[in-house]
Amino acid sequence: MPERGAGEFERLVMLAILRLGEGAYGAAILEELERQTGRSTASGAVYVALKRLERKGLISSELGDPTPERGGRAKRLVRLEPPGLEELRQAHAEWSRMTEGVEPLLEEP
Amino acid sequence: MSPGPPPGARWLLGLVLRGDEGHAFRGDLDERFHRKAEEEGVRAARWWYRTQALNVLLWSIALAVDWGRGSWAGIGGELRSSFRTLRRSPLHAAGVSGTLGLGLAAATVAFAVAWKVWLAPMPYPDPDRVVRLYELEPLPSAAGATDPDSRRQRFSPGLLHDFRAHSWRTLQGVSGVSRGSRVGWSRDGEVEMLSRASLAPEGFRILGIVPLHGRPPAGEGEVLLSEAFWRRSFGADPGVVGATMRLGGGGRSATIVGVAHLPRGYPGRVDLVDGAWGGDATTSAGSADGDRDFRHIEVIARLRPGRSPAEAKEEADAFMAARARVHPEHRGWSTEVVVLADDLIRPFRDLLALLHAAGLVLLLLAVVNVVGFVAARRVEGSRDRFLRLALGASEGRLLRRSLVESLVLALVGTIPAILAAWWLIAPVRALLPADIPRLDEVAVTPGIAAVGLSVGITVGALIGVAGYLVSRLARPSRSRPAAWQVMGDGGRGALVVGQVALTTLVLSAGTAVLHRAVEMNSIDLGFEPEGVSVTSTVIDRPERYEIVRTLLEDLQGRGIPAAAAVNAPLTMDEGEVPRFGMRRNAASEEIVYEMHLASMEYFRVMGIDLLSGRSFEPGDGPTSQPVVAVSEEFVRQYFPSGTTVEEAVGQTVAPLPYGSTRPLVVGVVRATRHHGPDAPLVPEVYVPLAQLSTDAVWLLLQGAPEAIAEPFAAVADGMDPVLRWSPLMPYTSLLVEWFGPLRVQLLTIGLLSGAGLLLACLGLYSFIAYRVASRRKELGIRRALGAPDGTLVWHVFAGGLAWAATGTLLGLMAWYRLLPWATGFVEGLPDAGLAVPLTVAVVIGGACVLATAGPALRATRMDPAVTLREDVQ
Repeated sequence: MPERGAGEFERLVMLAILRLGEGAYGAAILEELERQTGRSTASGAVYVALKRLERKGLISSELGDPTPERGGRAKRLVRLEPPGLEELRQAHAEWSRMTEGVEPLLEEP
Repeated sequence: MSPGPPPGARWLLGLVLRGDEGHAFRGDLDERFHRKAEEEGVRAARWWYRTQALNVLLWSIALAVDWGRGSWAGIGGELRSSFRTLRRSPLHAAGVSGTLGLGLAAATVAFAVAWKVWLAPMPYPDPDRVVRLYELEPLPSAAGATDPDSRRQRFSPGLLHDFRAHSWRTLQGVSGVSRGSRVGWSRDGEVEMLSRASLAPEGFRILGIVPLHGRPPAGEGEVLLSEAFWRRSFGADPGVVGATMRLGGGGRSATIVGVAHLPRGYPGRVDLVDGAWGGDATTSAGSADGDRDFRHIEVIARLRPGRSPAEAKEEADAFMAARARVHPEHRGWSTEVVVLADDLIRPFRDLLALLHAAGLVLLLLAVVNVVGFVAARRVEGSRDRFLRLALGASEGRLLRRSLVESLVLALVGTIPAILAAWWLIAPVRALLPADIPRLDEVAVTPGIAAVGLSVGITVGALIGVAGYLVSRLARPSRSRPAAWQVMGDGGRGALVVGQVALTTLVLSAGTAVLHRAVEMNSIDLGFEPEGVSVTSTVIDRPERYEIVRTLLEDLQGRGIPAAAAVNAPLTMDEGEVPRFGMRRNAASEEIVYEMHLASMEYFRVMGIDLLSGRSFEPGDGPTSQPVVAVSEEFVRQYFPSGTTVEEAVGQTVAPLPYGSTRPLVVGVVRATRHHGPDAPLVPEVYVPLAQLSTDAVWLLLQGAPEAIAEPFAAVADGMDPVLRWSPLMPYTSLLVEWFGPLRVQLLTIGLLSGAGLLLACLGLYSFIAYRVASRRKELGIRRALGAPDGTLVWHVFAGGLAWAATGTLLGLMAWYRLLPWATGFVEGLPDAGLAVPLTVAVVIGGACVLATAGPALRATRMDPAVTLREDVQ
């Protein structure tokens, strides 16, 4: 039975894929995560998250063309699958509901 | 184009990231590397790449184990399965757990000792700023010593006074310290012997000792009680401050001015501290001349913040040079400033390092063996692995299973090992030299146990991963020998070679130390300690010599030859025997000598040969001409070159401390080595007890303690029942202390060699047994073709001995490579010569013959028909 649902980091990876659109692949996702979160991200964590997301059927991947700067290796292009998109929708809705009306409480005194 | 990523990290990633996905991800990392190299430089990019490679490795392991959500549910099942497997093969489980437990117990004990004695900071504030100061003899010293250790002398009272009065740029306080003296405490008609230290109020500040009650003592008439003694003898009554104690047989009283918790290790386990060095040091002992030649005071100081011992030495040397212009006794002398904590542990550092290394080597041997056991087991069980894979188990599940099984085995070995270490720590403490600082605090604490447990778990995890990797490399096969080809004879043989090499190394060290011990035992000490018993007391009364003389006469009357002495051989530690300086004239060099006070019969009782002149006589009384007997070493150093022992008799020497008349040399005796067989000879001067005596007296009696205890007690009680004498003990028991460190080295290395030999034999046995089992067909054919038993046995032997010989050679090469380092532990090791390779060859060769005998004999008992039929089936 395939595993369902995604962890918090896996959701972040899916959001990065969503933002990158057609050109999403490992190095770009890593950079997007670092740029948006402002924290350095471990390559291994992204690698494992991509494998898990694919195993859960939330994303799919295909090999692109090799480039010289990648040591002649192909890019593994990833894209969100409908269950992945649905997972993000649900997570976003949960987040919106939970954060509704808390802005005044979060303001600095 | 910038340089590429580091090759090592690339190789690691190549191992971990396989398939198209892995290939693509390596491309991602390369791409990021080039971008980082352009933005942040190649060095930063390479560093980043390396960390990412390690990171990917860790995440890949996590992914393989799938240690994520829901995975805990499977752990219970794995645990149950592991226990079932262990129950099915108890021998394997016992072998792995027992071997690991043995290594871990040894390592835990060694670490517990090293931690408390060596690594844990001393229990006073900023221990790195508390230093010990020495006077350093001019180079070379009178005895010819050039190394700083042999040239170190304690401070004379005069110099201590100068140091205390000076305003220092690098030091924050200087204090004299006396430790280890004993004093009698008269209470309700009973006398209890107490251990006493002396410390100036600055000393309390230097060591950060804050009294629980009252204040530090400021003079000799004031004492501060240790908290332990205060609780034991005064019931922790705070009202005791202000009371008086009668100390010493003379009834001198001292006022109790405070109670404090004294840091263990330094000043040591003492009952009370007086303020002897708190007053004006110059007036507290002898004349100005004597004060500067009598170097017997230990001195400590506290460095100012940010100052180093080297800076303090520089300032102290300049100060010494200035003092030498006023007091020529300091001419040519300099100072030594060392951190107190390091200095206290210095005599034992090598011993502790050896103990620690022994524990680690044993643990390493155990781990090597366990890896061998588990790897062989995994290979043999490779069919089980492929069955599981065929039934749908993932690689992650198999790794988890291997990890859980190994962790269970490790825990089964680790927990008893920690309990064994806890039990063993007391015997080990008893074995070590008693004067190691903080030895009595050594224990397997919860912290140490946690470290042991962590090591056990880590080793278990490593074994689990190693076992999984070995089984992963195996290919399915019908027969065991084919599966074993994964590690092959080479792989397992390498483990055997490693074990034999390590054992050889340890055996070499053991042989060298044993050789050294035998050598030391054969050194002539200059005296004959066999058949002599010793006891001691403190007589703090002016008539003490009369008491001793009467006692000795009574003992002689009962047929027990006896003598009395102060500072006699072995009765004090090397550091405690006071040393004095003496010059032939103002221009001559100073020699440093030791002074012993002895009664008339001393030389005869102790078996010290009189080389010329006479021993002391009844006529050498308190009012007659001062006389001395000197050692031949004294004659060599003090008198002009070529002076014979006969010529020395009848001459006078420079006045001794406490006197102004030149004493007459009446006899020359053999030099004694009373600081140990390997200690350098020190010039000795013997003074008749009748002319000079102190309150601490040692009695030396001819006869074994059990034979003379009764008559001695009768004489002693009949004369003065108030005096408390220490229990009679054989003089040779004092000698044992010399050999204490050597004894521990021998025992440690002996145990280690034994355990190492056992482990190496086990490894060799299982290796040869497996080779015989896997070559049943070949051996069967050889027998069928008529090969004689002798040929078969030699065939098996030769296989095992070749590996063992390789290990022995490697071990010996390592030993000779490490010899310069090992010489730092025990002097004289290189002299062991051929003893090491010969002993090692005999012991290892014998052990290997024993280990291979079983499999070799089994080969001769094979029935060729049965063997060949099995193969056909």
